[in-house]
Amino acid sequence: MNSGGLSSWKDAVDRALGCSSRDLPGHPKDCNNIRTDSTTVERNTNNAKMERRRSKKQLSIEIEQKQGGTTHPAAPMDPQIWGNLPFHLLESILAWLPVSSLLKLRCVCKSFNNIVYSPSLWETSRRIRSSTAWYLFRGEGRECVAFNPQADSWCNLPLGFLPSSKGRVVATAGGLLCMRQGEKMIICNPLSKTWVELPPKRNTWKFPIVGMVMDTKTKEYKVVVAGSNSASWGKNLVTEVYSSLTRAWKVVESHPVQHLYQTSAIHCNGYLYSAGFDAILAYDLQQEKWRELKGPALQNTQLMLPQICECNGCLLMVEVVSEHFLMSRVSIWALRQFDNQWFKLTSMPHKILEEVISISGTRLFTYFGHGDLICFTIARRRVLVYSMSRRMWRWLPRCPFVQGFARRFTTLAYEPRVEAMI
Amino acid sequence: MHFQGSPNMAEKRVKLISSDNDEFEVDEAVAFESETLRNMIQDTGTNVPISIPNVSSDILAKVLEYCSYHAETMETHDDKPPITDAQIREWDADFVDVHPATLYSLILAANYLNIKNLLDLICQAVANNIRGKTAVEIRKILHIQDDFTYEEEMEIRRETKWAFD
Repeated sequence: MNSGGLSSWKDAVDRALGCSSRDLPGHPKDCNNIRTDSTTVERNTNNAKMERRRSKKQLSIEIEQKQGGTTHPAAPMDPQIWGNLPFHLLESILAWLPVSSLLKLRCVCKSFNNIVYSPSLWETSRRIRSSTAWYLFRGEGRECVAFNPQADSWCNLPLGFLPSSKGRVVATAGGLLCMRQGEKMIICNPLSKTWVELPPKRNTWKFPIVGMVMDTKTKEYKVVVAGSNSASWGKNLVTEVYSSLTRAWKVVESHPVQHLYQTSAIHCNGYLYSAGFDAILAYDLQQEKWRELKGPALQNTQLMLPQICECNGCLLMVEVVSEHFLMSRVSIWALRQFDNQWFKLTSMPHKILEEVISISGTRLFTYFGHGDLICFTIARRRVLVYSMSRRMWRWLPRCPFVQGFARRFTTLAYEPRVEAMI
Repeated sequence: MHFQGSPNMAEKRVKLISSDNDEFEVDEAVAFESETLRNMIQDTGTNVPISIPNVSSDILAKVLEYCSYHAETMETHDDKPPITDAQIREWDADFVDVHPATLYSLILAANYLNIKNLLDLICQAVANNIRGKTAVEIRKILHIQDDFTYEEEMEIRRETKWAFD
């Protein structure tokens, strides 16, 4: 064993992280899905999983793997050589691994267990990937299920480490989840299993608009909550903003509103957006002011509460036209940036619409956009996606988990970041 | 050994000397793909041969092959259609389709010469090589001793189990 090389290498990990392995976030003992599989069995399943992933790669589903077609997979990596790899290069290599593979490597040794918390590794990882976001289908209880588009598979995100099982995820930003339970708000990182309860707000509202943003440089996050008191509902939207820097809420502005608005605000280019029946509200995070935006001229919008979503920096809305209470056309509208006009991007092909109706009947779906995909949650565990870049509709593989999929599901984008600080 | 970067431009040539004393001559534009060489050339000019003491001739040849191809992709020719991104990706994929030992030498060379795109390319190739490997295999390759107790390892496996389910 090259123990000399190993110890210096480990020191480098500790230096990079500025901590010793003892300082890591705690490992809770009350893990929900405790399994006592033998090491061998688990390893075999993992291998099988990898094989499956490889076959998907050949179908060129994963763009990121386009350069991976080496014909030397069987050629062994000689330990005599690779054992001397400088630490920063090892980190550069690991940054290319999908998050799930990286987490799996935590059990290599204590230093590897620490490496997943290295900020520089995650910085590289973000530089080389435009988005590592997963699509989080929030549940009502302790579980959330997430779809990982890079691996084209589902995973279960346990929230059992949280103090209460009753909260719901209402917003996400930079690897953190914002949970709301009544008036209580909790920020957590499900990967490092850390959480913090926010101090109480000044106002209490029934259906507030909630949004969350994180500054990529300073790592400061803000939670924006806006609502109307029952007395003044339909008159004034009061806004409170929590900053992780000040660790306090401040009341910023009142804005006159008429109707109900979408409760999960969408972050796009410095604004938080929330759609309503009459207009789209946009909260300028810099100026701390609300303004209004005209929505597209949608038909039959009274069927569903308008929702706005975002894909690759482009604002989108979905129009559902119905005949005799059945959907007859579903179209995606996009806001053109240069002239601020809405235009119809595409419509759902007839064949797919028929499939949707056969599954959902007269019920409507919810939708959400992030990165390249718009996800339409048609029914429990049945999700249809539209890829903006490939202009293709497809059904996601059926989610294998039942628990995490709440009846009234809302989707959020979640970027798995082990190092995100609460 | 000569690498043709841009035949239609009267450019300065740069002499490079590998660790085993082989001399290479390349266009300045090719050498400029490397930040390290760019800094050296800007300091000392192109008259003095630059010695690269920690890169052997076979690896340096490979690195320069990469640099000259990528320098070429930056140029526009009237008579030839521009090289598409897909073509570049294909070329890159062929380039890293080598034995892991060569990848190791390349990663050190790309790091020393500070050729960012090449370093990314190789890191990704190595990551693809190790992504299917188990913890035990990784330990073996990187000469790492398992310092977990059985209970600790099981605890981490339980914690991260959801990521693979």
